[in-house]
Amino acid sequence: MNILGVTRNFVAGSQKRIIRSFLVGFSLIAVTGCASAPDPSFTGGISDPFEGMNRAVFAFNEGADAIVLKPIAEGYRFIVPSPARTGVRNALRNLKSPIIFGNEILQGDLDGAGKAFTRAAINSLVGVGGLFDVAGYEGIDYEEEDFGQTLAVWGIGHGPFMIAPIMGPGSFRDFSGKIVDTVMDPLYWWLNNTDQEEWLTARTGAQVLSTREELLDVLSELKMGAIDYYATIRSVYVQNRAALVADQDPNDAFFNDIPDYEE
Amino acid sequence: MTRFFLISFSALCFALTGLALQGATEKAHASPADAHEKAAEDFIAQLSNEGLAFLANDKLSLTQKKARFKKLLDSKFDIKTIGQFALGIHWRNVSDSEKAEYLELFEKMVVNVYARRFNEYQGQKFEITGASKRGKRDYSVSSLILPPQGQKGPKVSVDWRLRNKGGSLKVIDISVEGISMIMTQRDDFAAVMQKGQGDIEFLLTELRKSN
Repeated sequence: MNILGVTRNFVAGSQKRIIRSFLVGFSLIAVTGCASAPDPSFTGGISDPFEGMNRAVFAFNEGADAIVLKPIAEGYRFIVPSPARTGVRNALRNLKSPIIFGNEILQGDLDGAGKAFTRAAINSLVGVGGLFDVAGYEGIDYEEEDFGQTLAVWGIGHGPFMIAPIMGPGSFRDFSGKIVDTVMDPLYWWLNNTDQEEWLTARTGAQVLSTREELLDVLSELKMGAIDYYATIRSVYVQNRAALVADQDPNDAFFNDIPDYEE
Repeated sequence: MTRFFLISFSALCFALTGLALQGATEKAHASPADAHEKAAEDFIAQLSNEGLAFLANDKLSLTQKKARFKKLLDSKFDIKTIGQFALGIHWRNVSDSEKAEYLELFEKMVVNVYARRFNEYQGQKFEITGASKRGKRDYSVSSLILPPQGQKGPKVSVDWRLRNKGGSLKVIDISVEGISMIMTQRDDFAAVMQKGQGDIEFLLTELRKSN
């Protein structure tokens, strides 16, 4: 067996291990999570029974981000010109089309499914394999969908807030959704069955880098303005997911009710 | 493979019909906004003009710019509503003098947070993209901050939530890329209040530190 084969097996094996350990972790949390349910109104609209542990992992992630991810994202922004970065983002989004399409169907959003299908067709053919968002230019905008959102549409709440090592903020529901999205993805099975798992790793890497670069300014702004950065991130996470679930343009969201106080 | 192309082709036809339809509906929507929406847009246009007037003025010192910004906040923002909302349930448990000090420190903090970004202004363009009614009381004006002329960069979408307070419009929330400032602030303060076991003095101390 050659070196590459060994690496592949290792990658595939570690992926399975990761998924399994997540499942074990989730069932543990599901059991313990029921025991204590603090009032979510104190914690940004989500229950956070593992706040102590979450804060510790958050601190670790912050450290890792400062040393590794953020500098790489900054380098990526510095070296790669903006149109190329947009191309990378478009291509990554295009690769998500089957997952988005599937979730739109599961959410009963046929209009959304049609859009996802149309976008994939136009952008793959006219947009040179998804590098150009021709459909978006024509007004069929990208809509982010995942199984976490589908669960939300089905009426399932976030469950406990969780900070995963490296992966960052999420909830029991949304992390479970990520696993379902992974196994829902035909690309995942095709690459696995054709011994090309390294492409999955490459895609994950590109995704992480592209997302981090996009968030460079927003996150540093948030950090500057916050007294409690952890609480701020938790708040922003919940707001962002709520906007996505409502299929509202997340750039145009005033969901909350602000009371009209007496003078 | 042939089937793949057939599907793609039909998708393309489907898409093009969709585009034609969308174009038609967009035209129908292009009618001018009602008087309230127009007033909301004008309010934000006025606000941005006043803001840009001091941001773009290189002759002003940072202290002078801060003073101008505070004046703008006092006249165009409802700091009391924003501050009261941000304190959440704790508002009713604090004395009047504590409320007054909190609001004062809160406004100072807002001034300081934004003042750090004053020198980031390099001729960015501000564009109002529309207004709509939000809920029973409020109007939302959406806008874009565009990179300076001839430069590449991200467009930042900023939405302004306006409410009529005592006969004039006031800003009660700003949403930057979908993140509501008032919500984020409340959740931040809630965590600080929790850490201080509900004692407002703890939050006031934190606010004094950041000022």
